[in-house]
Order: sequence, then structure tokens, then C-alpha cells
Amino acid sequence: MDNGDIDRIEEAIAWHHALARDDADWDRFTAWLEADPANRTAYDEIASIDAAVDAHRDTILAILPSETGARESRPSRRWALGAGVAAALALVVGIPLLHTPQEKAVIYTTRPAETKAVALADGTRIALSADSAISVGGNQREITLQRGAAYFDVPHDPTRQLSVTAGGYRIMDIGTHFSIDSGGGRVAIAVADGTVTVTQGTGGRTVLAAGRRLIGNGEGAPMVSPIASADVASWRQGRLVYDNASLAVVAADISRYRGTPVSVDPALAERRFSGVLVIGDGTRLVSDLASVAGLRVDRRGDRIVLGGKPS
Amino acid sequence: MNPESDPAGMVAHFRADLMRFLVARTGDRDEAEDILQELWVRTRDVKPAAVEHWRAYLFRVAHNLVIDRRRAAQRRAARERRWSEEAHGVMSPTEEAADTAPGADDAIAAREEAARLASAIANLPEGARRVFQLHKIEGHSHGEVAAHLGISKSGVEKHMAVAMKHLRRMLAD
Repeated sequence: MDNGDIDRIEEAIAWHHALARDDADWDRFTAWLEADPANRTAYDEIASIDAAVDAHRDTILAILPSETGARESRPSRRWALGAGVAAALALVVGIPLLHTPQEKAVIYTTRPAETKAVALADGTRIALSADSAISVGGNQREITLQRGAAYFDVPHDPTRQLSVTAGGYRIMDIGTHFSIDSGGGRVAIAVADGTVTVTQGTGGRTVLAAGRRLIGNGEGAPMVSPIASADVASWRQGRLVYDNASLAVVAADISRYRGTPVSVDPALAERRFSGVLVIGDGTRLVSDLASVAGLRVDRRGDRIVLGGKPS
Repeated sequence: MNPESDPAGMVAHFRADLMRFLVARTGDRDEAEDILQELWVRTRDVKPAAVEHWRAYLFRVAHNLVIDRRRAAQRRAARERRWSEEAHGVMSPTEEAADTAPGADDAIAAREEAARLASAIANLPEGARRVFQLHKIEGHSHGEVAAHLGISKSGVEKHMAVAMKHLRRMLAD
């Protein structure tokens, strides 16, 4: 590789970084691409590595030892409170801000079929669904939903803003009740009370009011649709309520409650499902879904694949 | 709906700029046309009030559509490569039926790709590895990474660039 190619890669990296900003200069980027076809190839290489890392972020996160030392394996007294109370809503009290704003993030996780309540020092309460994880930044205002689903009850305080990141979305909130669901390749944000602002990467910004739900895959335009406030985070009442959800999303939810992987024949992944599933102990979810949606259950070891019924 | 706030109207309004960008970005006029069409479909249901800056927004969505297509093409190529490798192996009919089920195949491919990326990241130079992991994998902002490691934000950017250069070399076939 000659020096020209190395420069080109460095330029591509610089462009990749610059384009992530709100004020990205698309015309200058176009001009750079037009200057030499090799620029396009260099940019494709960088962008595809970045996209691959994003696509596998959760798996990579599970493989690599954490850099912040804030993984669930980290021994903590607070953990002991919640650990013994499987399937019950244990209350875990987050530590107030004691040291510096760089205080390490704390990660809360639940096992399959377990839910957990987390209380932050400012009065925010978070209910964590089964097999889910959130990280709470040291200042307790920056939360990341790492996997699964969570429900947020944020007391109104216009002087402070809570920021929750999930998938490609950032939710800004000064006092509401809302839920976030991730899984099945998409993120759903539903507001039961109040208003949140949702920003997508560095692109669009959506103001989401009570009774509205935003669904997106972190890229492209999200869909906004109505949702009954009572159906927001319905899992808290032991039910999974779906309105025109893809089977991939339903399977991802069921996997979290069963603790074993449930997937859908890719041919059916986009088929829509509307209905209510009762969670119970999680064991009947697959057969209930299969009978309601007319699916064939194919067991492969501990994995379950839902397929179409032969006609 | 007035033309200033109608998504289809906005795509038409910026059509020339978007086409020029897409042709430069893909190097293929037909593909650029396809993507423009997809852009129109994708933005059709966008609530106008939700989007503040139409031009930047449409460029961003177009840009993401190109990246999605490149990713999909990559996955397709990997799948085909695996199939042709399997075709040379010796398999009983039942094993073949189970192993080549599309769902299982994709899951294996995803695991392999994730493991390959994880090992490439683990082998980055130390400073670049810590910055890359904190920012890209653990989701901290540049500012948070800088504060955590006690370095400047431009230091974070330099480490990120070093990480990308190394990853590119390590992941090149």
C-alpha cells in the first residue's frame, strides 16, 4: 500500500467521524467522493467495519472484559439485595452521588423470568424486565438500556434532564412515565404520561407525547403510532400486548422470559402479530403464541424455531 | 399538506443534490436511482413536525441506506462463501438439512463475525483498544471516554482513528 492509500484511509476515517455530527457537510463529502473513485472504496471499508461492530455490539460486549469494570460480575453489596428474590420485584437502591461526576457506571441486570426495581437518588424509579440490563452513569442522569426492556418513572424536575440511550436512540426526559423495549432488531419507545424527546443518532428528532409509541431500527425513519397508556410496559402486569408487531420481536421477548433462544423462520420474521400473551412462568408462551398465530414449533436442543404450518 | 413539509415534495425538491451524492457514493447511477426510490418510500410516513432540517435529514437517511445495502451485500457474500465451502464437505443428508436451515446458518455467521471482530478489537494497540471499547462497545460519548481516561477529546479522536486503521488491516481478507 502506498502513502496515497494510507492518506485516503485517514481521510475516510475523518469523514466518517465528521458525518456523525448534526452539522455534517454533505456537499463537501460529495465533492471528496467525486475527487477520486478510490475515495469511495476507502469510505466503504471504514463504514462497513463500523456497521459490523454496531451490529454485533451486544455479543462483543459479552465477549470482551469491560473497560469500566462495571460489569454484572463485579461484586457489590447492592446486588445481594436483589439476587435472592427471583421473579419478584426486588427494590435496589442506587447510590447517591458521593464522589466525582466520573464515578463509574453501575450495571443492573435481571435473569430470565426475573424483574427488578431500581431506585435512583433523585427519585427516578426503573422497572427492569426479564433478562435485561441497564447501565446507570455515575451522575445518575445518563442511562443506557443494554438489552431487554425497562420502564421509567421519572419525577418532574425541569432543572435536570434524564438521558436514556437504547439502540440508535437517545431519549431526553424531565419527568414522565415511559418504556423502552429492545430486541428483534428494533427499539420501541412508548410514553404513558408526559412527553419525551427522542433523537436518532445525529439525525431526526421526535417529540413523543403520552399515548404515542416510536418504533425504529436506529436507521431510517422511525414509525410513530398510538398506544393505550395501559399497554405501555404491560409486562409489569404479567401480560405481553402486541399490536401489529413482527414475529421476530415477539420471539425476542419470549426468549427473555423463557431464558432459552426462540427464533422465527426468517421467511416469517416480518409476519405481523396482534394479541395478548400471558407471561405466567414463561413456559407456556411459545405454545400460546404458536396456537394463536398458527405456527409450527420446531425444537432443536434448547433452541426453539417457530415456522409456518404446512398448508 | 404544503410542499415545504411534505416528505415526497422534499425528496423531489432536493432530488438533484441527493442524486449527485448517491452517484458519487455508490459509483452506480442505477443503484443511486433505486436508493432514491427507497428513500421516498422510507420517508413517506415521517411526520413533518418531527424533522427540523429536511435536507440534512434526507442526506442522512440516504447515507444510511447505502450503508445498509453494503452490509446486506457483505452478509450475502459471506453466506455464499460458506455454502460453497459446505458443498465440498462430506455430510449426511440429515445433517445437511439441519445445518443449512437459513435461521441456523445466519446465527452461526453472526456469531463468527462477532467473534472475529471481538478478537480484532482485543488485539488493538492498548490505548486505541481502551478508547474504541469504551466508545463503540460500551457506548460512552467521546467526552465521557476522555474524562474516564484523563485524556483530551482530540486524543480520543486520534485513538479512534488508529483503532479503525488497525481493524481495517486485521479484518482485510
